[in-house]
Amino acid sequence: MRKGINLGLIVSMLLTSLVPTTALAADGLSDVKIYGYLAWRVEKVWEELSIDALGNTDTTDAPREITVPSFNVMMQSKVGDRAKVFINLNGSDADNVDVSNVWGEYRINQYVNLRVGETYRKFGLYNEILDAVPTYMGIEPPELFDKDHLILSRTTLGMIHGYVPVGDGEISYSLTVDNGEGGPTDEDNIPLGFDLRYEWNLGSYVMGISGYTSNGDTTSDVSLGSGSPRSGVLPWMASDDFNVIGAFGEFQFEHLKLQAAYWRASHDATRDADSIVTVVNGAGINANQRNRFLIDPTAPVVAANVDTNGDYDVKTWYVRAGYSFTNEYGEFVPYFQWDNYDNPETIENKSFGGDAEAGLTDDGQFQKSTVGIIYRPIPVLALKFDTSTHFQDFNGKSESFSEIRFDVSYIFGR
Amino acid sequence: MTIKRILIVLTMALFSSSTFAEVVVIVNAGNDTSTMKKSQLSRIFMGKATAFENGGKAVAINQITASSSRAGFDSGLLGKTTAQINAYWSKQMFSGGGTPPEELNGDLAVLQYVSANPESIGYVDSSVVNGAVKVVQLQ
Repeated sequence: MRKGINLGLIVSMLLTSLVPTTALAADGLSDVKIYGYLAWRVEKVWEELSIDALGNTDTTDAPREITVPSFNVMMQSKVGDRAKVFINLNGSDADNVDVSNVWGEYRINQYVNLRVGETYRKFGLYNEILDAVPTYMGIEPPELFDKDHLILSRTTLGMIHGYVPVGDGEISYSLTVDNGEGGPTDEDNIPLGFDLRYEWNLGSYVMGISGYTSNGDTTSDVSLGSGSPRSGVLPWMASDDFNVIGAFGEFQFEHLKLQAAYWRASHDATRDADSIVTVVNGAGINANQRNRFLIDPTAPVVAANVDTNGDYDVKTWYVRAGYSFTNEYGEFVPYFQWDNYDNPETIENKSFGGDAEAGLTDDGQFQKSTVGIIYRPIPVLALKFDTSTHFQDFNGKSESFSEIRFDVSYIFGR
Repeated sequence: MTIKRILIVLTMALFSSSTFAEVVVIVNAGNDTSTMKKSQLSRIFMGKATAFENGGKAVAINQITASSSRAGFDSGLLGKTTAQINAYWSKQMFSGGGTPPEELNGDLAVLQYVSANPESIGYVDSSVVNGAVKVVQLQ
C-alpha cells in the first residue's frame, strides 16, 4: 500500500471523506478531525568505523545529515457511534507522499472491534505510535522497529481487538493477519500476530506480551539489491519460517517513566545459494560473515560452497527512563536509554538488505546508550537533542562511536 | 488574646477557601445523574467510556490548557499532570485510537455548553455554578 501519490489525490481523499461526514455532522452523528505534525532533523556521526587497505581500523567523521522537513497528515472520522475511519499520510513534499495507514473499523462492542485496511499492528509499546516517536514522544525508536533491521512487518491488513475491564484497569488484546509486506508463501499460509496487555491506573502501568508467526515458509518482500526489507525476512533467503515473541512493560511513577522490553525472533531459514554468491562477491562483508555464509571460506565463491542452512535468532532488549517536569518556560523531559541488539545473520551493506549498525560489527551485536532532553515551550512544539554511543566489537577489538541528533516538531490541528 | 487569634485564623480560612474554590463536575440540569464513581469520570474524560452509569450517552467537555480549572481537574480528579494527559492523547490521536474531548475556553464557556446540551459533562470552578447545571457528587 505504501506508494507515492500526489497532492491532488490527498486532497481528493480528504474531501471525499469530509463531504458525507459533514452532512452527517449536522445530525450529530459524525465527527471529523484532521491533524498531524511537521518534523525536521539534523544528525551527525563521529568516528564511524571502517577498515583501511592494510586491514587496520580507521575512523571517519560522517558528513552532517539534514533531513528535509517532513509531514504527517492524519484524518480520523467517526460515523455514528460504532464506525470510524483513519488515514495517515506522510512525506517530505507533495510529490512524495506515502500512505502509512488507511483503515476502517467497526465496533461490535468493547470486546470485539473489527479493523480492515493497512494498519500498524498492536505490538509492544511503540509500533502504533512510531511515526510520532522520533520527534514528539521524545524517545528514539527501539531497535525492534529500526527500519534498517525490522524483525517483522509493522503493518497488517486485518485486526480484531478489544478490552475487558478488570479491577482498576483493563485487559486488552489484538489478533492480526498479515500478507501485506511479507513475501509470497508456497502454501498460502496466513501469518498471525497477537498482543495481550494489562493496563491499570489509567494507563500509568502497562505489562504485556506480543507475538508473531509467519506460519510457514515465506520469502522477503524485497529482492536482493533493493534495500532493506519491510518484513522480517532477509532478501538472500530462499525460504524462512520465523516466529517472534517478546514482553514489555511501562511504569509511570509521578513524573518518572520507566520502560523495558525483550524480543526474540527465531528463524528456520534456508539461504539461496546464488544470492549468497552475489552478497559475498559484492556486498563488502567482513570475515565473520564470510565464514558464516560459506562452507569453506578459503575456497572459491561458488554456489556449491554456500552453507544454505540459514537458521538464526535475533535478540533485542531495551531499558528507558524519562523524567518530566514543568516550569514557567515549559516542559522538560531528560531521558536515558540503553539498547541491545544481536543479529548474527546481517551484513553492513544496506543496498543488499543489511544494516549499518549490527552489520558493522564482528558478531552482529552492539549496545547503544542514549542521553537526551526534550523541551516543549508550548505543548504542540517539541525541541529534542540527544546523543548516542555505540559499543561493539570491530576488527577484533572493542570499539565505540557516537552520534548526535537535533529534532524539531510541531503538531497542528489539535 | 486567644479569642483574637481564633478569629484571625477563621478569617484566614474563610478567605483561603474563597480564593481556592474547588473544581466541581457538572452535567445538564435535566440529566438524572447525581453521583458518579471517580473511575467512571476518568474513563469518560480519557475516551474509554461514552456513557453515564445509567446508560445515557456522555460527551466530555474539557477546558483549554491555560484555563484556571484545567490543572486542578487533571491533577485532582484524573490524578495526572496536564503534560501526561497531553501525551496520552497524542498517542491516541497518532494511532487512530481516538481524539480528545472538545476544549472550551474557561468556566463560563463550559457552563454555557453544558446547560444547553443534555448529554454533556464538564467541570468548572464551584463559584460559577448556577441552576442550569447540576453538580455531580463523586464517589
